[in-house]
Amino acid sequence: MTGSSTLVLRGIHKHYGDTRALDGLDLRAHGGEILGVAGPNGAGKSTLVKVLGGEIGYDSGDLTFASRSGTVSSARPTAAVVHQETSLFPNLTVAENICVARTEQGWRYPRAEDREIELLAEMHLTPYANRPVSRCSLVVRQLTEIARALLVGDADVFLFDEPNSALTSEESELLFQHMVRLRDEGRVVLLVSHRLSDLVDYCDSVIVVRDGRVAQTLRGEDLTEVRIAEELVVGVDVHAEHDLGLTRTRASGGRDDGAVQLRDWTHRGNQFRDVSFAIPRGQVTALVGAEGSGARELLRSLAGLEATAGTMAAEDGAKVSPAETEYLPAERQISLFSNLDVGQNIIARLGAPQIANRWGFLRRQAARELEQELSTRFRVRSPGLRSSIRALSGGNQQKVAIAAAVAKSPTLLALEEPTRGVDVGSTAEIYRLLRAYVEDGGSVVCYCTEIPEVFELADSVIVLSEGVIVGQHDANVFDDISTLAHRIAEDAAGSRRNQLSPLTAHRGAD
Amino acid sequence: MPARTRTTPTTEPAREDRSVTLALDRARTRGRDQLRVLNPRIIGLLLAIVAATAVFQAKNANFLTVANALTLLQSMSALVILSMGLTFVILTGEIDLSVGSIFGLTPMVTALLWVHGIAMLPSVLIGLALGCAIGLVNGFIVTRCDIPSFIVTLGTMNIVYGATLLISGASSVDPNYPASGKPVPHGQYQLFRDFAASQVISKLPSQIWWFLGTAIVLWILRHRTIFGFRLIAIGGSVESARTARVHVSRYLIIVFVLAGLFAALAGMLEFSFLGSTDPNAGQNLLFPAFAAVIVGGTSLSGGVGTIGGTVIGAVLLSILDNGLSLIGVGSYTQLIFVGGITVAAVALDRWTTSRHQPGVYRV
Repeated sequence: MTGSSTLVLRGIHKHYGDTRALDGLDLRAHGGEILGVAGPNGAGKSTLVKVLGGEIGYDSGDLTFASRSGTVSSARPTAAVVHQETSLFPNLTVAENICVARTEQGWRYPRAEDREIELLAEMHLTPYANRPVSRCSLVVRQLTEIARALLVGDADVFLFDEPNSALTSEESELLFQHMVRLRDEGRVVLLVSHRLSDLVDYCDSVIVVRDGRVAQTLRGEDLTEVRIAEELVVGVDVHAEHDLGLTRTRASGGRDDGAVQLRDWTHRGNQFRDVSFAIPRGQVTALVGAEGSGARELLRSLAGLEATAGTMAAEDGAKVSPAETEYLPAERQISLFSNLDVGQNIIARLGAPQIANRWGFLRRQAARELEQELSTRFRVRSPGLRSSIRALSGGNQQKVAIAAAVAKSPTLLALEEPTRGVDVGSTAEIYRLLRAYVEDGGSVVCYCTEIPEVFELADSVIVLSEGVIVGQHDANVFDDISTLAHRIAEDAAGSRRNQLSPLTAHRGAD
Repeated sequence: MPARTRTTPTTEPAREDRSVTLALDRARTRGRDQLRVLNPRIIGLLLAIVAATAVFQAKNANFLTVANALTLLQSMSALVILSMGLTFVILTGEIDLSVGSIFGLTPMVTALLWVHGIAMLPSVLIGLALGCAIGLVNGFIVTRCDIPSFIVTLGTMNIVYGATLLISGASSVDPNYPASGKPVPHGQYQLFRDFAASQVISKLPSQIWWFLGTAIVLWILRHRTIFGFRLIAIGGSVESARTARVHVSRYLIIVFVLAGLFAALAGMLEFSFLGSTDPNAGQNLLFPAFAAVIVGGTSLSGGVGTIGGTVIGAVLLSILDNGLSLIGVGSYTQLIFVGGITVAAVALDRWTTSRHQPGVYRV
């Protein structure tokens, strides 16, 4: 190690049409430190990531980088970005992916040699070396990406962009362990995250980006979850949330007539078995369970996307078709249409009679009014209904996706991780919109991976483990998140102790 | 019920603030809507047409004459009709290479049925139905067997062309002097020629009316029906469309049928205009058709494209074809021109749009 590097950004501007994504952003990141980046929805966080990652250019401003070897330049450094979508070759193995850029072997087919083998071991990748990346888990891919960046460009800047939103806690611990190691080697490490606990646990200082500039830098004793949360919502009426809590308690006390009743609901691929529960009208039901517990598949099955046996019926016994469920996947790439504008995305799920007459001709005036109405109701902040959906921030894109699903007035609204990759402010807004929707008599089921979300959003919780329901609770009786988290963890752990072999014990449900 | 502490506060912009934003929203929406009719792509194409016309007129004074304009309009009709059908397939992100061959086979089948004793109208309808049937087969194989449409239609392109050569004995058929069968009744023949070759108003051959009629119908289908809206949704993302409960396979089958039908219609009108049909008809039409669609702004990856763009793209290509012939440039050089223009148009489009487009999805 020759020393530590420094990355300095001064007055960076970036415009998208009329929108100022970055408006004179200053930033100083030192090697040997992890700099956290937080910011509400649309504050310019993702633009900053793209500028640093070299994906896009910037309009004006200075960028200087002093490398560990001491050279100073104003060229953008080789920044390795670690996020959910890796840029690896899915058809090649982990080892081959690392060897892709090596030139020492001339024209021969590249093969891992000492340096690569050593690195693979260091990154805990040895067991996966000969496995195609397409068959590796996300964390293995991310570690491979880091290994490649280390080997290929000896990257000096590492940018972790919401790296763990789809990882289990063990996996994210492993990933962060390597992030800390990169820091200790004197590299510049930036962590962009909406999980405040990660920022507090791992960062030496955290910048809060607002309106395209750094609004606050927190370090030392100031660096707490509460302070970040406060900074993120500066200028926002914090007390509004309590009103929400009260109305919500009243509403959920009044109604629990079942919208849909599931009986002996069994997955053909054995992801879940003999599941029976009611989804009440006017409530949010949360399905909770780790990856592989069957909770995600259970949610998808409500929309008919998994092969199942069993009955799904209304209260009066009439069969409910999965087509009456509107399902919203966690990935916005498959819930939205990138080629359509904001308004078109809002009405994309509709047909006759809402936006077309019975002959199939579009009712353009009706469609436009509906777009306007829904975007107002769902508080979509956009440069205009005719602007590209890609110009919106993640939180606003998600609001558009929810608006599109709600527009069909479904019997059930099934949401998979409704606020994945959405910042704190928009998350609260989405919760409130969903609460307002159920208070008008809608039924919402969501698959949640985070306990705070269950606490904030749900009226009832259904915990799944290894394909069976192991706990069912009224979420409103829990006073704080930790009691709820504790209870859910107990349910899941208890089931594992009691069932020696769940797969054989529950065979033969069809 | 106990009071609950919450960790995530909410955002609530001031009320007057929001109404201002909405008013701005509406103003912008209106502005953009009007602008969209004449997007930069169309303006660019119109400028290119004007420039090409000026050059050809300067080189040959016969270019801007009524007679040549009529020739031009008539000769582009088949290309326009074929390209518009193809546009629907490309809008969904699929591809149909068989349209040129369908253009050749269907009039050939009609001609042979006709000279072998079947009446004119049933023969024509059978020909058109055959175009639909080939499209149906394409769509069915693409959706049910999950084979890329490029491969499927590369196959059917050759199957259909081979069938055309086989049934015709590789020679053209004139219903008045058929190699086999009997010459068709004169009255029927005249009636058939009238479909495309009659002069209904002043000296405009009726083929032009077919071209305008189909353009209007297909423009409505693309821009004013839920069908057109769902096609661009499918072209944008098949996965998202499935999530939105669009019957993707059904729509794909329909677009292949449409492409087959309009290829057959274009072939039939050409047969009607010329009075005889050639087994190689359509073989030289595949590239210009793709070029018209692409130059007209339809994205090969799907989800973006208009009927107006395709029509204007076809007009530009036809003007180049006609003008280059008039100023004495050989057909080999013309091929080079059309190829170059196609690539250049796409390159220009990429270059201009990539500067305004903010990346991919944000997280």
